[in-house]
Formats: sequence, C-alpha cells, structure tokens
Amino acid sequence: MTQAAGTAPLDGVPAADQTDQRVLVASQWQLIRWRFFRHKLAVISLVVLGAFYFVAIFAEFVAPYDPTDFREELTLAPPHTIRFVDPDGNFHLRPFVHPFKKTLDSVTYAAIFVEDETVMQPLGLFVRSDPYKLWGLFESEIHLFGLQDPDARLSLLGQDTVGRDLFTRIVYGARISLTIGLVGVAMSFFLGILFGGLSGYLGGTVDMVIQRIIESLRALPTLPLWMALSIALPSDWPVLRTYFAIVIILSTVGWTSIARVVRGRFFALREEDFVGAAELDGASNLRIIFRYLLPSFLSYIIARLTLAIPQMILGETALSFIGLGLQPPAISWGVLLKDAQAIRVLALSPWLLLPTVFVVVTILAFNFVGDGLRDASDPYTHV
Amino acid sequence: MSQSADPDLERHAAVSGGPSDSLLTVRNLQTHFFSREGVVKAVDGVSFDIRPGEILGIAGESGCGKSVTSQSILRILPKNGKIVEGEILFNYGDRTVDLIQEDADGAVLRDIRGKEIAMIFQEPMTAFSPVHTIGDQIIETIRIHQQVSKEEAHEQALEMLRRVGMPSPARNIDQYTFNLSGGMRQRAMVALSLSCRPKLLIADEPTTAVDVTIQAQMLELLRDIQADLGMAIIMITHDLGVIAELTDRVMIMYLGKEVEHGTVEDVFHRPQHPYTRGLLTSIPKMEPGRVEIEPIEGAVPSPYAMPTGCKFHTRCPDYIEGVCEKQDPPLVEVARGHEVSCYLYGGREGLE
Amino acid sequence: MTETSESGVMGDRAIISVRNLVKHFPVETGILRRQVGVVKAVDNVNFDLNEGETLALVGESGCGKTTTSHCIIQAQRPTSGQVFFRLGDDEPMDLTQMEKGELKGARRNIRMIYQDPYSSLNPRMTLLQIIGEPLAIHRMVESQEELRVRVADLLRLVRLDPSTLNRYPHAFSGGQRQRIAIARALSLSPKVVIADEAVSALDVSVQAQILNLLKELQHQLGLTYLFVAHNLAVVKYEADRVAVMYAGKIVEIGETEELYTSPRHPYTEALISAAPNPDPDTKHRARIVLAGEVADPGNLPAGCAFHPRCRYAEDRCRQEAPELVDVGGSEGQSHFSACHFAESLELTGIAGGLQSEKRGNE
Ligand SMILES: Nc1ncnc2c1ncn2[C@@H]1O[C@H](COP(=O)(O)OP(=O)(O)OP(=O)(O)O)[C@@H](O)[C@H]1O
Ligand SMILES: Nc1ncnc2c1ncn2[C@@H]1O[C@H](COP(=O)(O)OP(=O)(O)OP(=O)(O)O)[C@@H](O)[C@H]1O
Ligand code: SF4
Ligand SMILES: [Mg+2]
Ligand SMILES: [Mg+2]
Repeated sequence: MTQAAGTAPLDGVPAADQTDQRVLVASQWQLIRWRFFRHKLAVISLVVLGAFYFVAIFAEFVAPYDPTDFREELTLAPPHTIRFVDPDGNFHLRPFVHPFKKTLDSVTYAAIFVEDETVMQPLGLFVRSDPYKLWGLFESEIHLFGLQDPDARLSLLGQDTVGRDLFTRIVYGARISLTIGLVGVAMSFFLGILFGGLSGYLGGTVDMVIQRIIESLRALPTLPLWMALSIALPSDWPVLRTYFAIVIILSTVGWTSIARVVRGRFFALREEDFVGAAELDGASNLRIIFRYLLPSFLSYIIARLTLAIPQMILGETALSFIGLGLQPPAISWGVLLKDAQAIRVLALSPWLLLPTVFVVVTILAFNFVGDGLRDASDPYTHV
Repeated sequence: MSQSADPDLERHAAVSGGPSDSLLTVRNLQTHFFSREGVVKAVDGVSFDIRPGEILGIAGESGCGKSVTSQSILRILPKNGKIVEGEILFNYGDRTVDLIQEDADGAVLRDIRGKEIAMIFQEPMTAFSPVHTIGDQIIETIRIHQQVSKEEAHEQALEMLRRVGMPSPARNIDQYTFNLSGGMRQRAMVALSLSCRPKLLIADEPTTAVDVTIQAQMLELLRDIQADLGMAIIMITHDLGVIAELTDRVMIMYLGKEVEHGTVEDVFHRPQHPYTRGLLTSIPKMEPGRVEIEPIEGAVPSPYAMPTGCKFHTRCPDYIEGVCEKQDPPLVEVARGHEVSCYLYGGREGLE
Repeated sequence: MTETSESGVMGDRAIISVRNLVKHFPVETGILRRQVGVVKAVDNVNFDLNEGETLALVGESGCGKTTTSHCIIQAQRPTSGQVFFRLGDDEPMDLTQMEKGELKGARRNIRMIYQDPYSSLNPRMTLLQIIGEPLAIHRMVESQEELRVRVADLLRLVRLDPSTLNRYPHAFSGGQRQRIAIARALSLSPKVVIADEAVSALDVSVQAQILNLLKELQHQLGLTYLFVAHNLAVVKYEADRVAVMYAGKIVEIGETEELYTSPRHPYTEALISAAPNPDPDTKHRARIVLAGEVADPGNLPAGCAFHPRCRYAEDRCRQEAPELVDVGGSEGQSHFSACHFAESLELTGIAGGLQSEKRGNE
C-alpha cells in the first residue's frame, strides 16, 4: 500500500485508461441519450413525432388552405392522384393534378368526380393561396405547397362533407390533438409530483389521505367519469375554455398514476445510503429533494409521461368522437372523425377516416419513444 | 491457446491417473458471454478433475468465473453464455459422458442434475418454491430420481432432515421456507440437494450470506455428511478461510483463468503464483500478535478490457517486462500435483 | 457504569461516551398499526470511544451494530440514553438533546462511511460534487476554484488520481468508490469517523488496501474510528479495542490482543473459534460450534440472552441477566465482560485454539 503512491500507478488509473474516456465523465443524461439511440424504433418514432409537432406548430403555413374555407362543388371530392406523366405520355419533372369535373350519377343522382384530363394544374412550393395569420401574428399568403393556381384546389387527402380540405383540417387538428396530450400530461405531472411528493416525503396521515383519494379516483372507470364531467360543460363556452376544461378532465385520472410512482420512488430513495449521507452532511430538505431525489427519478418520470401522452390523445379523440369533447368550429382529430360516423359516408368516402391513421401513428410513436426512454432511463442498473 | 492445451492435457492425465479414476474431469473449459458491450471471457481455459469423495475448492475474487464454471458443468448458463470449447467428462453409471456434447435440456442432463450432481446456492430461498412445504419438495425430488413409494420417500426425507441437523424434523418437514430461520433454510437446502445421494455436490458460496456461527455449523455439516455419504464436493468461495478449513485441493482463479492448483497445504504454505501469494498476504489472520497484511496493488480489470498475456501482469509485483504481457503462461508443474500458470516457473520456451 | 467515569459524564480520554443507550423499534401489525411487541435493537449500551483509537464493534447480523452507530450520530434518535461528545477541552455535549440545527456542527466532526459503495454515492453527481458537497453545505470554500483544489487534495489523500474529479461514480470499481466515500467523510476534517462495515463488501485484495489506507489516514490525521464489522480477522488487524455485541447488548469489551487471546465471554470464545482461518494446519482443531441461531432481539430469552446457546449456562443464567463488569485484563488494563462466570471460566482464545506456533511454513 505504501508503495502505491510511488512506482505503481495510482489505484484506478489502469482500469480507467482502458475504457472509453467519454463514458467516464458522462452524466446521467448523456448515458440515457446513448442508450436511447440504440433503440432504432424509438429513434424513428422520435423523428416522426418531431415532424408531426413541426406541422402542428406551423399549421397555417403547412396547410395549403384555410380550414374553414369550403367549396360546395367539391363536397366529398376524393383525393387527387398526383401525376408526373400526362395523358400523352410525356414526363414532367414538376408533379401536377387534373382538376375534378363533377357529374351526377344518372340513376342515384350521387355526385361523381372525374378528372378533367385536358387541364394540368402543376404543384409548387411556397405558393400563394388563402391568406392567414401565423399564430395570429404574421400575415401571409404563402403556403408550404399547393397548386400554383391560387383558385384551383388541391385535394391531397380528399374533401369533407361540406367541401373543406381534409388535409388542411388534419394539419390544424394536429395542433389541438397533439398539444392536448402535452398540456394534459404537464398538468398530471404537476399534480402527480406535488401530491406524490407530499405523500412520500411527509408520510403519515397526509400520505394516508392522499392514497385514499387516489384509490377512489382510480376505482372509477375512466371513460364514464370523463363523460359525466364533460356533460357538465356549458355548450356555449368558447373553444379555448372548453379545451382547457377537457384537459383538466383528462388529467383527473392521469395524475394519480404519476403520484403513485413519485411516492414509491421517494420511499425507495429515502432508504438509499447516499440520501442518508446527504442528511448527515447537513443538507437541507430542499437541497435533498432537488439535488438528490428529483434527479434520481426525473428520467424515469419522463419515460412514464411519454407513455401517458397517448392516453390523453385517445381520451380527447374518444370524447370528441362521441360529441362530448370539443365541438365544431374547433378542429381536432376527434372532431374530424365525428364526421365519419355515418356508414354511408364510410362506404363512399373512406378518406374521411384518414385522421385515424394519424391518431394511430402518433400513439404508436409515443409508445415506442416511451419504451425506449424507459429502458434507457436508469443507466446505472448494470454499470 | 490450443497449442498450449494439448501438453496440459497430458500432464493432467499423468497426475490424475487419467479420467478413469476421476469422477469429473474438466479440460480446457472456455465459457464466454456475448452482450452488446462485447464478449466476456468469463471462463477462459480451466482444467481440473475431482475423484470420488474428494473436496475441491475453487477460490478467487468476485467476477473471476467461479460461478460460471459451476453453471457450465450443470449446463445451466444464462442465455447469452456459451461454452465455446472444452470437455466436461462425467462418470455416469458405467460410461463416461461429455456433458458439453449433451443437450442441455436432454434426458442425460436432466437425470444428472439433482441425482448425480447436486448444487447448493448462496441464497437458500432460490432452491425452494414458496408454495410447497420443504418436505413435499424433498419427497418429490426423491421420487423423480428413485422408484419408491410416497411413504418410503417421506421416510427418506425425514432421515435426511435429521442428518442435516434440522431441529424437530418431524414438525419442520411440513413447514414452508418462509417460516424457517436462515440457518434452518440452509439445512433444508442441503437436505434437498443431498436427498438423492448425489456423487458430486457443487456448493456455490453457501456460507457467504450467513453469520460466522451459522457458517461454522454449515461447514461442520458438510464435513460430516461428506464423511458419511462419501460424495465429492466442489466448494466455491472467495473466503480462503473456508477453503483451508474444508477442502483437500484448491484451484485459484483470476479473471477466468486457473492460476494455481494443488493440495491446500501446498497452495497455502508454499504459494507460488504471485496472485496467490498476494491473496494470502492480503487477508488478516486470526493469530496472536501483529501480523501485517500486504495488499495487491490496483483493482481487478474490467472484464471488457482484459489485459493481454498473463491476466495478472497489470498488478503483479514480479512482472517480467517483455514476457508476461505477450502470451498466456502455460500451467507448469512445480511439485507433484502442484501447478502454476506463471512465467516465473518456466513455460517461456514457446515465446520468441 | 463502564470505563473510567470519575471525571463526570465522560471517560478521561473519551471523545464520545455512550451512556445507557437504548433503541427500541415497535413491532406493529394490521392497518391500525397496533403495537404487538418491541425489538430491542440496542439495549442499554455503554462505552467510551477514546481519542485517537480504533474501537471495533463486532457481532453477528442483527445484533444492533448499525443501530448503535446511527444513534451515535443521531441519524436515528435513541429511545433513551445519552451520547456525549467532547471537542478538545470543551464541555461535553449530549447529542441526543440537540436539535437538527445544533447537530450540524457536531456532525462536521463525526462522519460516517457506509458499507455499500454503490448505494452510498449519488450516481448523478461527479466526484467533485460528491466530495465537495459537505464543503459547500458548510460553506467552507469561497469559490469553485478553491473547491476544485480541496477536492483534488482529498482525492490525492485517498490515493486516487486528482484528474478524475469530473468523473461519475459509475467509472470506478468498488474499492475506488470506497476511497471516494472516505474522501467525502474526510472533507470536513472530522475528529471521529464511523465506518459501518466499510470493507465488508470489497474483494479481499481491495479490502486490504482500504484497511491499510484507513490506518495510514488515522496516523496522518489523528482520527478516531468506530469500526463496525462482523469479520473478526479484519477487526483484529484494524482495532485497538474491541466491543463484542450480542442481541443489542455489549457482552465483552477489551484490548484487541487481550480479548482475542484470552476472551472472557463464552460468546466471544465461540466467535473466535468459528472464524475460519486461512491455514490448513488448523483444519482439525476442536471447534466450538454453537447450536441454534442468533437471539431474536424482538423476542429475547430471559436472563442472559446468550444462555440458550451457551455451553457453560447454568440455572442462574436463565433467570438473571449478567452485568457488564470489569474483570481486569493483563497489565492492569480494563476488560469488561457480561457473564456470570467471567472470572472463573477458562476460555480459549486464538493462541490456544489455533496452535499457530506449529505453523512451520517456509
Ligand atoms: N449473464 C451474464 N452476461 C454477461 N456477463 C456475465 C454474465 N454472468 C456472468 N458474467 C460475467 O462473467 C464473469 C464471471 O462471473 P462469475 O459469476 O462466474 O463470477 P464469480 O467468480 O462467481 O464472482 P462472485 O464471487 O462475485 O460470485 C464476470 O465478469 C461477470 O461479469
Ligand atoms: N427501522 C427498524 N424497524 C424495526 N426493526 C429494526 C429497524 N432497524 C433495525 N431493526 C432491528 O434491529 C436489530 C438490529 O439491527 P442492526 O441493523 O442495528 O443490526 P446490525 O448489527 O447492524 O446487523 P448487520 O450486521 O446485519 O448490519 C435487528 O433485529 C433489526 O431487525
Ligand atoms: S452468563 Fe451464562 S449463559 Fe451467559 S455467557 Fe455466561 S455462562 Fe453463558
Ligand atoms: Mg459467484
Ligand atoms: Mg449493520
């Protein structure tokens, strides 16, 4: 031992030199990131979600039209086929569509849309069409893409029952549907940490009361509870207020599971020697909570949250679908799906179901990301 | 590796008189783990044999591959572990089988496990199911391997519990493990593993988690039972005191390698390998007067960053530069039945 | 009372004096938390920790070693009894009577090292933060730069490379982590260090390094250790005096060499006899194997708690609990034992049991 300081290397140096230097000074978040990036599916999902949120944020710009602008003659028009080859067989670098010609079925009088092959309407990037105000601030008419002719209508994913562009509406719907999950989860997170933390840190009677409340809330079936609460919402409330009311309704149950997790972690962590050591160091309660307890389970909570978001999205979709959530003129994926309720519509205009695809993709993506995060969230398990 | 393995084989054969009189012969066993971080050569060329009725100790520090060696013998390795080379010859009835060549879930190994080779673990709870009484489990084990009536098996179970010193066996045979104290559980586990009179008992750190007084009971028990039933025991532990108290021969391991092998007297009184010497000077002794201890420098390297050549060269006080880090030193016999894998004792001929 | 208590509440050379320390845990059942019994984890413990010495607390699992050390540092509040602490020539202070705020000062001088080097270091903090934390909390440094210098010095003190201070604990082995824990304990220049099984989780080769490091640091810094352990050989190497605990009580306390060579309590004799010795020559010695198990502190037998396992027990032992009394060691040292027959029994220690003189090696 005494010679240790002399000839032999310091204890620790030989082992340390042989491992990757980066790992040695890697913080928790770096380790989590490295681990997360090993999950291919989670990374792909993260990219998909990133794209969706980009679209939701810049909805006015990404959507080619105004979501309320309707064209009666295009009611229930199907999606356009985007073409590169004209009827004469010539190839065009710039994609184009043929506009619809509406005829009536001679027997049923149902509208039939046929492509007018004589006219070619080329697509373009940064084209002009309906004016908008981005985030209610910046006025513009430039859209990310669309038809170069401002008066023509590109039907990317079809038109709805009153001739509004479905793609545009899905893009605007993403704004509400994607954020309601985040806001709802933020709310649950706040309540969960607050009550779970109180429960775990104070223990005793406080803990007992909070636990009983949580148990009662969890004993209620979720959907009927939400339905009951949303029936109580006045129907004349403005969209924004209804939105927040729905968020609160959705988080009535969501926070309980987070509170449970927080409480459990608090209990477990209080037993850890390093927390005991910090107490003996003279660290204050706040210091212990913020420097020792919270960082130790934050990553875990974030993973849990990611898995809770799809719950909220589905909740909103379900409530709106049965007409108890958001109401038109608000646009959310649930509201859009409500339009697709009639069987007749489904048979003739299946594209109205397309919002479902977005709901499913979003939920899967959140689940994959959540799984990846959960696996990565405790990088110290086997190091 | 493979070049040095063959001469070893012959030397072993000469020492032990060949596998014919040994119960279990392990030759150049190599077990590796494959994980995302890389390959861990948990056992990297281990050879030993054990005769009927002999007690062999396997000692070494945490992570040196003691448990993996025993798991390899019973073929109960975790999924990502693989035996990549070697032979494990077991005297099974009137023939010798190579356990590596057998199907891990096949009839031969199922029959051998429990009946021919039994194992006891550090944590007795893992050996028992919590939903059956210890008696039921012992009886079931007996009846799987022997054609006996329920009553007869019950008798045998009682007898075995009595033998391992279980207090009031007639009452405790109907207990569940969670009702038993730690020491009684250990006894029950020994009774369970001995209930089929195995020829070989592998004990993996059976006393590490128990108090010294219980440990003394355990060792006493193993010693008595071994004398009684004449089975062979492989005692795996990091506690050299336990090795000295119980075993006849000992194999010292370091990072998956066998570094020294011989009778306990040879290894403890005339340790040759610098690692063995270091280990022995590292442990405080229960002797009168001040006995200084001398630790080994440094720490055990990570299994993902194994040193080249002699695995111990990074910490070795006698390290020969230009030799030790080149190649694995072969096992060299320094006295009859006492082998050391270290260049201080020869084996340099093969190096350029 | 034990030790020299003539000069008031504390022993003459004591830096910490434990007096009549009791810690009981209630045993509760059901949701109504009805108390159905009590675990006497620490049951009237008395001892002095003398300045500059290493006093070992040995005993088997559950005998109350950890609870005793936690009650000393007030990590757990004792049920009753006092823990006096004296700094230099100051008046002794009773830690059990102090509020959290007042304790902060005393705890600067009494520090703790934990058993498990994995759970005792926050994996989310760098060495700089971990070792610097006590310095920061007690505002002992002015600047981040000074903190770095201090932490680097501490790392050097425990023989770690000071350039590693930005690393996280996951980059270190068990032995290195234990060095980090020691550095943290020493950062406030304490007088007393309580090491609770500080080497038990380590590999033998590393354990030896830490044992020697602790000794060196003691000489260098004049530390006083309360060394909690269950391994008798380790204790023999490390301690000046040894206190043997059984079922919440101290049953014997004396100078190390004296206690090991001539134990005065049957339990100590059995412990020494049971400890495996790494010498094959002692294989066939007559070993005392205690029957049964360690007494359950939740359900102690009457009289001497050790009597059900004691081979010298007589009727008196089943009725009357023996006091811890000075039975006198060799050369006038004190040697306390709590056994009715401590004076008359001929007990065997290491010299007799191990016949080590016969060990003709090399
Ligand atoms: N399932 C596994 N996957 C990857 N590596 C493993 C696995 N099991 C064991 N190992 C590695 O194999 C090596 C040998 O492990 P083993 O359990 O045999 O050690 P041991 O000598 O029994 O140690 P201990 O005294 O701690 O029980 C170690 O480096 C360990 O990390
Ligand atoms: N918080 C608690 N509640 C109830 N009983 C406890 C509590 N803490 C400890 N005990 C009991 O008190 C007794 C003494 O425990 P303690 O941890 O002090 O023993 P120890 O000597 O440190 O043992 P070990 O060697 O296992 O660490 C044990 O029987 C234990 O079960
Ligand atoms: S008092 Fe009696 S029972 Fe207790 S240790 Fe002494 S002899 Fe044994
Ligand atoms: Mg093992
Ligand atoms: Mg303890």
